[in-house]
Amino acid sequence: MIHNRSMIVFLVLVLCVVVRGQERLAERKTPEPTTGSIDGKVVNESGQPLAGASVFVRMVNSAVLNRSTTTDMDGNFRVNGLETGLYVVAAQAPAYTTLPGDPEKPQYYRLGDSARVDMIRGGAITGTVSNSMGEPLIAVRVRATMIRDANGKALRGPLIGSFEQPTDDRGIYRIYGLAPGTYIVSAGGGGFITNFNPYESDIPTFAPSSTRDTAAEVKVLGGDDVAVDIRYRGEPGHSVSGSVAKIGNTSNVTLFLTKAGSNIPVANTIQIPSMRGFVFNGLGDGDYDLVAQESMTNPSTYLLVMSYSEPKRITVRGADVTGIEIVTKPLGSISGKVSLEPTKVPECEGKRPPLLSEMVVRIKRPEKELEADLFAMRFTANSGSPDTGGAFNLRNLPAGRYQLEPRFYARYWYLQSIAINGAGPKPQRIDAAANWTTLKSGEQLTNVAVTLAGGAASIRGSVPVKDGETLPTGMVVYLIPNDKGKEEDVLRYFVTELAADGTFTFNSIPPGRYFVITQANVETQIATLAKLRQPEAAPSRTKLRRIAETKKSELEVKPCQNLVDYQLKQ
Amino acid sequence: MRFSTRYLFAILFASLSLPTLLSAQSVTQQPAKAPRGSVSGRVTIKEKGVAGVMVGLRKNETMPFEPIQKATTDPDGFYRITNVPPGNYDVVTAAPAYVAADKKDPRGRQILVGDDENVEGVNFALVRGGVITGRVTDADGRPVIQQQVNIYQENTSTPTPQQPQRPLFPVNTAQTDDRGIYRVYGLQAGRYKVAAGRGEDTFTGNSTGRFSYRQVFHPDVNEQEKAKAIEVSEGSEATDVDIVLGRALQTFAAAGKVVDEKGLPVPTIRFTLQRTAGQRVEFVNTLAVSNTQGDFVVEGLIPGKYGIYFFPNDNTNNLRAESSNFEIIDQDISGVVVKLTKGATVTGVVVVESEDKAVLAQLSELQIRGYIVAPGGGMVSSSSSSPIGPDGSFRLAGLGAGNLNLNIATVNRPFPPKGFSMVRIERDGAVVNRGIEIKDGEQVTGVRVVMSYGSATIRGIVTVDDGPLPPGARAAVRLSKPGETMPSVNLRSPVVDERGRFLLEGIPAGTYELITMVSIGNDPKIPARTAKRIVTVQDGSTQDITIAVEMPSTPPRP
Repeated sequence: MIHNRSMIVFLVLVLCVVVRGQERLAERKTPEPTTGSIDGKVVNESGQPLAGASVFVRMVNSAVLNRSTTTDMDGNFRVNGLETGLYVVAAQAPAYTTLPGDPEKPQYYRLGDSARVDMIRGGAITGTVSNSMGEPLIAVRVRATMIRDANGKALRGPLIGSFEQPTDDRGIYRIYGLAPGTYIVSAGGGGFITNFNPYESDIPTFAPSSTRDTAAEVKVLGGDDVAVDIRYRGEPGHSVSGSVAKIGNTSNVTLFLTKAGSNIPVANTIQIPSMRGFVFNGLGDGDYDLVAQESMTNPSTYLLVMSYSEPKRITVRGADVTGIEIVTKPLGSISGKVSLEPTKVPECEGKRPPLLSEMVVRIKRPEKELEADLFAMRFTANSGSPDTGGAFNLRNLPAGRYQLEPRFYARYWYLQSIAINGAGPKPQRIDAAANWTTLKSGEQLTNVAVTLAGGAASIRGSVPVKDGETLPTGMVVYLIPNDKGKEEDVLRYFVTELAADGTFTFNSIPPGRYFVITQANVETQIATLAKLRQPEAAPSRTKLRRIAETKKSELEVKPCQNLVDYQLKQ
Repeated sequence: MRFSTRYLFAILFASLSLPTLLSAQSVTQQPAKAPRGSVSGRVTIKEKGVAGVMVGLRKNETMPFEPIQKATTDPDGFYRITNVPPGNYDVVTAAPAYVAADKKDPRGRQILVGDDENVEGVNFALVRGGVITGRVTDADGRPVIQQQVNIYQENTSTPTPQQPQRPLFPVNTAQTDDRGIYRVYGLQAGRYKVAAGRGEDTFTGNSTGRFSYRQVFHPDVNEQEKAKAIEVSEGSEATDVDIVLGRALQTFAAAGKVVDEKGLPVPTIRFTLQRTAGQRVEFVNTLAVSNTQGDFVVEGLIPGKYGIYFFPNDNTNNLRAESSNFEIIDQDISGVVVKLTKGATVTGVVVVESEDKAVLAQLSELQIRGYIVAPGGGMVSSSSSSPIGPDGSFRLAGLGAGNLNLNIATVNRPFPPKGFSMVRIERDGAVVNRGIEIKDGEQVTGVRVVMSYGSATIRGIVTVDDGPLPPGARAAVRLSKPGETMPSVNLRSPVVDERGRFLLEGIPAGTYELITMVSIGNDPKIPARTAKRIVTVQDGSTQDITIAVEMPSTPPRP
């Protein structure tokens, strides 16, 4: 993905400075509304333009500002008339797929940015479904479900990312546009909605002719056809039915069935207001866990309000299960305010403050909790955007531990603190940057204060590399706070990758004194900035500090200083 | 997001088609005891029983997603669906590659099942349907993927310039795969025309955010009349029925502003567009939203005339767009002003002609819905719904100008409960059963919707020449009040099943005229015959009647 600051935004900023003269820009709360565009290109795996692809440009955390357009014959697109903000760009094209992005590194676009969306031709699974006599089965639904991605990473969670096609009059099916990965292929069984289909009450037959446990694994590479025939077993299954109580008039409920005690998806179904209940068809004997997710659209913001049920254990033993009652419970939220603390240092005069509209507060959860939680983060929001007054609200959060990670765009500003101000006569102030914030089930946690301060510095430097040599990969550079009283301030710890030519960059650094050290082969807990700042990394930070104190490579950056050509001795 | 939008449209269309659904049939409520009715028969191919064919009962008022009663044929082709409650059903088979052997004998059969009645001999004689397959490519010879291919029945009657009589709806559709290949199977023997792309005079479906193509018929023509008809016979397969589409249609953007009556911008107003295509109106599959400055842009619009459509119950606060139609010709347009004005309101009361408290209590579970049909008909330009208060009061707001049609239904289902029917609509005492004419922003008061509650039943049978309905015959029964000059609003016509049976439930006590019309096949040389019967019914009682229709022995010369 390529970033380009366009001339238009630059000019607008220059004009602001000129027109406003000596006005203190840092105190300006709501910037002038400006509109602009985001353009870009959609390309295929060989870098050739993809014409006729659908492109969606959506404002982060807005339920409504979602624009769509189509790429032209040269694969280009442009969406005009966008308001200042952060956007995500996605593309769709029939038979093509996108590789999933790193959820740790979401790609945000600002006005004037150019986005490049890489799509790859999906693979196809095709074959024949026949019965025990070898006769073709017509209009039986065949489903391909990805179980591992192209990197071999197992997929968990509810049944999403599965593709379905019915067989034709010759018993032939063809499922295309599949992302590279490992799939299992099944015929028959319950679908998302109840159809009039003779195979939907059967237990699915997995290729070649087996149950889920012994299903053949099918590897799909981009753009290839894989032949998979299925000999249909036609074992009648049972149904599980019931209702989700008291659903709102505008609610939609999705129900997820998984194998008991595991994250292995079995089936999904829905219940909408005009339905009196839900039903899963084609289930074999066994234990299952059932979870319901209710979503309702807020009539004025159009944002989704979600609630979840506790998992319910369902046992199927040779008969249909009826009368299941499920109740959903509202999810929790974390809300607070972002405030900007400008600096009075003369060097920082006229430096642009971050725009609240170009900010998001992202949330992170401990990996273990995330793995244990089937649905967390998959459907719930994982970021909130401050309003014009800086207030933000992260909704639809399940119980658990959270960390906040604000993102902003302003070179001379830094993240100073994240704190939770307790209530009462002696309010306690919790450092939410250094500690996990625990959210109870359905809790509405408020008073989170995120403070951004002006006066950030940047460092561009290098370590000496001998001619003709390159540095080993995986080397990183750490900044460790060296001011009295700041030793425990996790927001003053920084890590960045060391390029092969020995250069490195740090941005948005609080002014002050730091130790600088390079390290190779670091443990994952301190390999990324977010992880380095987690409570779990405290011993590693102490260790780093000890190493740094012996190496004695120190530096000091002044407010708004751009330190360039910093030479770090190894 | 895309998924939910699709549902939104599905629900929207479901609500738009309410008036049609309403005229269909009364609701038969499930009795407390286990029903003991059954439907049985045999499925055969060339007189040989077929095993494993699923046969199902679809109720006329079955909503999507609802499970249906079904059975599977045994090794000799026999099936029996048990525990069937009384009611009207479509009996359908799940054998998609097969069609009815006799064209006059459709795959779906209408059967009225009485209390604990065993309806036997609902047989299906099937033959293998035909197949049409081919490939769709673009002007550069590349496959067009996920393109809908429409199969139209060839029109055998000679079209005139005044009445081109093109079939509006395809009889079958398919989608091309990633190689551009489509395959349609289970086609009744006949002659078909095959097209891909968007037609202006046919329902072809559309999707925003993808290339649109002008409709092209196989082999390579835009006009349906010039298209080559594909001959399909039992079990035949027509291959290489290829279509080459032209260049993708150029699309344009429309930009504008949503403002209030004072001209001030209104943020976060969500709407969609309707495009007038020929004689019909299609929804554009995109949502437009005004931003914080009230500005909006909609991309991907093909040339045409567009209008604004607000979603019912959205947060537009009962506002409506004033004259905000625009036209896309050959370039992007800007400056479209969507001016929100207070829509017309209609207030009134719903009155039930009944003393029964239990009946009156049901009123609060009902909803009144109003649809404005624009002059010229067809297009629902705005709609509103309102709960009915304990005193029967209602208020519909945000309506545009036009003819207001009203109907009453339960909140989640498009039907009123059994026994309720709309007798008449009054405005200031005058009967306005054909709808209420509403002017821009008008505040209409004094509307009375008179409902009746009835519990009488008419159980009837239509005979032809003192015998059962001949094969291919269709009978229709219309109920009206003799001597009433204004049409009754909501006396629903019953479904007459293939055995000539019909059931009218929940009708108010009184005297009715039953007009029965029987036609045989689609042969215009055999005129339809009608018969009239006067019936008087009392609440809580069932009236059995036989309506005898005599058909002419020889068709008269035209």
